[in-house]
Amino acid sequence: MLKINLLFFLISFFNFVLSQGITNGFGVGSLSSFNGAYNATAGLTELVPSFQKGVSVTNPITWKNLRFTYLSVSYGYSIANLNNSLAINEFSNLSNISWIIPIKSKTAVGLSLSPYSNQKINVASKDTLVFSAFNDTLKTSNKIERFGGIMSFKVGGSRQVSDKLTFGTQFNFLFGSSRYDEIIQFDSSPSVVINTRHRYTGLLNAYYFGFKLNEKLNFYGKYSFPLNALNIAVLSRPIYEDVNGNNYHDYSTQQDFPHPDSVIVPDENRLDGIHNPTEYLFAIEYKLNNRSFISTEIIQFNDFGNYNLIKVPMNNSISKLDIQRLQLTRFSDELSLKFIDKFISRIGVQMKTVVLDKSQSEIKERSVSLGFGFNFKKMGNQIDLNYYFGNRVYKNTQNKEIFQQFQLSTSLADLWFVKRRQK
Amino acid sequence: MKVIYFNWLISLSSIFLTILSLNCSDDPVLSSLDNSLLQLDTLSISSIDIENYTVYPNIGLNSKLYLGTKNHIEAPYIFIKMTNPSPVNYWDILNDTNVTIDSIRFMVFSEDSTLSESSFPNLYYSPDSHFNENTSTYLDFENFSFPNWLDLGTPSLIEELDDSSNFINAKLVWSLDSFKTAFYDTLDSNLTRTFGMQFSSSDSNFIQLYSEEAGYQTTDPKVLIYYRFETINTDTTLLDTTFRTIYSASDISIIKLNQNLVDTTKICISNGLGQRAKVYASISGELLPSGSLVKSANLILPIDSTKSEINYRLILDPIKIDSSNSDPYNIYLEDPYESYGFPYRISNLTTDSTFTVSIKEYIQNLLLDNVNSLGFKIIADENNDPFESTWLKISENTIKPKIKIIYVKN
Repeated sequence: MLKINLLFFLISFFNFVLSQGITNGFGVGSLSSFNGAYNATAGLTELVPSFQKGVSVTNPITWKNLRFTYLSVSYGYSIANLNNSLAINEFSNLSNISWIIPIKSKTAVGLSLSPYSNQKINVASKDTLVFSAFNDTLKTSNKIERFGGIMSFKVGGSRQVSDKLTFGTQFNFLFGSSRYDEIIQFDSSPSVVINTRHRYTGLLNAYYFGFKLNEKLNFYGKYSFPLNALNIAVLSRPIYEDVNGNNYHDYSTQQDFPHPDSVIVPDENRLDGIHNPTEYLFAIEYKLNNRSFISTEIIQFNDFGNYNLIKVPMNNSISKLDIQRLQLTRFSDELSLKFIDKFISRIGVQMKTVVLDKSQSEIKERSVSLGFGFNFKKMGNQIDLNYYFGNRVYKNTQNKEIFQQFQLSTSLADLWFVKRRQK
Repeated sequence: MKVIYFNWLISLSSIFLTILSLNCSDDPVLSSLDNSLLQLDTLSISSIDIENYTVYPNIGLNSKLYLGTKNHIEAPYIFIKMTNPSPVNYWDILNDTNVTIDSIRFMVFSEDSTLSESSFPNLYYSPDSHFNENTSTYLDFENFSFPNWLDLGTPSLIEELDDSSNFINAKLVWSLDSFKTAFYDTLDSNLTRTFGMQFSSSDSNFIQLYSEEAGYQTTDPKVLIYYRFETINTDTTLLDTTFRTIYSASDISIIKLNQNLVDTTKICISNGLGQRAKVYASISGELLPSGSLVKSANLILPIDSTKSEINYRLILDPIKIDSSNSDPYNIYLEDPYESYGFPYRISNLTTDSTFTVSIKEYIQNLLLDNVNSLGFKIIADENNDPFESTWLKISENTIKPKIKIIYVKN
């Protein structure tokens, strides 16, 4: 009976009436690194170790502390609900794949692939417009849809230069594409659509440092800047009447107007410096006891990009972002025989202030995060689960949004690149 | 064991249903969408010039054949051509020694239930080709007569009735039995047989017949050959009677152009009068913002209802090549304006006040530089009664010709 109740609880919980995040409609979309938890292994923090003692999957400085090569895969599920909407929206995706190779406890290299931003949004006009023309009236409503996003492929490494100091760097290759559809819907005739395709390329670079002041206190820092700010190849197709209603300019069953073969699609227009982010991150970790750590992170993110050159669904972008985080982490005890001591637990709180570019209005987010990890087998394979709950307040519209995220990670450890003795 | 099985079932169901619930959905977020760049707008063009031009009438594609005079327009001749049927040339039956020809009949059909002997035309025959359905005009028959043609006389009338004795068709039947040898030439296997019709007297008779364009064979002009043949088996001789039908391959009514009926101060469109119109509006690719989409575009021409037939079908076709000589008094043998045709050729019926036709496809392709802006020609549909006409009212101030465009700009 208990399990049946649990089943109903799970289904009800995941199907809670929730809608997509408005932040997907700003700029190049909702940046994954600032949208909930990075992945389940990290909890709220990025630089401070929370995967294993002394190790953060997202901080190259700490990779040298791994005893084995790790392959970590994380899957995330995000849901958000606006207070004035009953619409149901959810999104799930592979949130991170990392492959980390520690070399002789002093050096480490790693690769990772993860979404950089999520641009999926569907915006509809609040009101139906009435257009009078030649003694006739046309009822219209506008709609904007955007799909796709930007992926991030990171290559990084670190080197311990002394017992106290470690430096690292990471290159972040940005790539991807999205589709932007702007639609006028008519009550008595086919919709008019204009499709725009964006292809993204960019290169960011980040420098890391880690400073061990003493056994109890560690400092971490990160400075990220664009080597090649995100540029976008924009391909705007001509406007068409979507007679067959499939949002593609084609003539499969019914012919769209004008005939697709009668229009000339212009060349791609390459726009530079659309997304130009700079990020500073500073973190402090304090050891409470042999297993417990308390940590804080302060992030300032600025985007100096020029979004006036492209179409943006919500007609705004994030220009500045301030984050403060506090997390308590309790690691597993490898020597203990108790089952409960195999678990890693993380609990954190976060305050985020987003400043929008055009209106200079703010979005305030308060959130909590709760995560668990389970370490198993001799190598230290690990499964992590994280739940994130946040409340966003949009100051200009007084909209409130509840954001939730579930992350599940599996990390597999093994001895790689070790010469085996010939039998 | 059962308890373990149940636990696993519950666990699997939980995982499966949970995964199922992890779907992606994207119900719209509502916003003012002030940044939407697509906007509706309108454009009205009233600087439209219309002028008449004259082309010698050719109504070869009309579904009817006309003979006589109506509304002061004269159709003096009808010609019907019969070629050798393929794959079997039934005309060969006339020269087949194994069969016996019982009778040969020539038939045409009319929907007129009031036909009388006085309105019966004379039929003539010539073993030669005399016309082209698509190009022949009165100019080809200006001093024409039938003295060298074989006179086949006048027809007899048979009314076709349905089971309830309602009138279906009137059938005019000529007996060709006496002229059998005229329809076959042993030296010319590819003989073209042409039948001509003319009223014997030049009074005001008028008849209207079905042409081969009207339907599929049932009411086409045709020749029927009735014959019998014997089949001899070992101990029996079978006598079989049958017939073969040879249908019209092409036919045409020749209309004599009467320019005295045309009021040169007005714009007239009529097949019988050879009157067509050229419409020119100063439309160019720069007229609408670049990249616009035409949502609707209608050309509206006012009709003079006092002189015009209602529900008269007009065809509007954008001009591709203009080979006219700008002489309004010139009468062209062929239309000097070559048009684009499909998909820009649009037809519609006139109402009692206007002729409205969509030019959306043309305007959009004009914006896309796929067509030029030489204007339109307006002609009467080939199936209109050529003795009727429609008149455009362009000189009055109340209603002016207009093009009304609704478009979406980016």
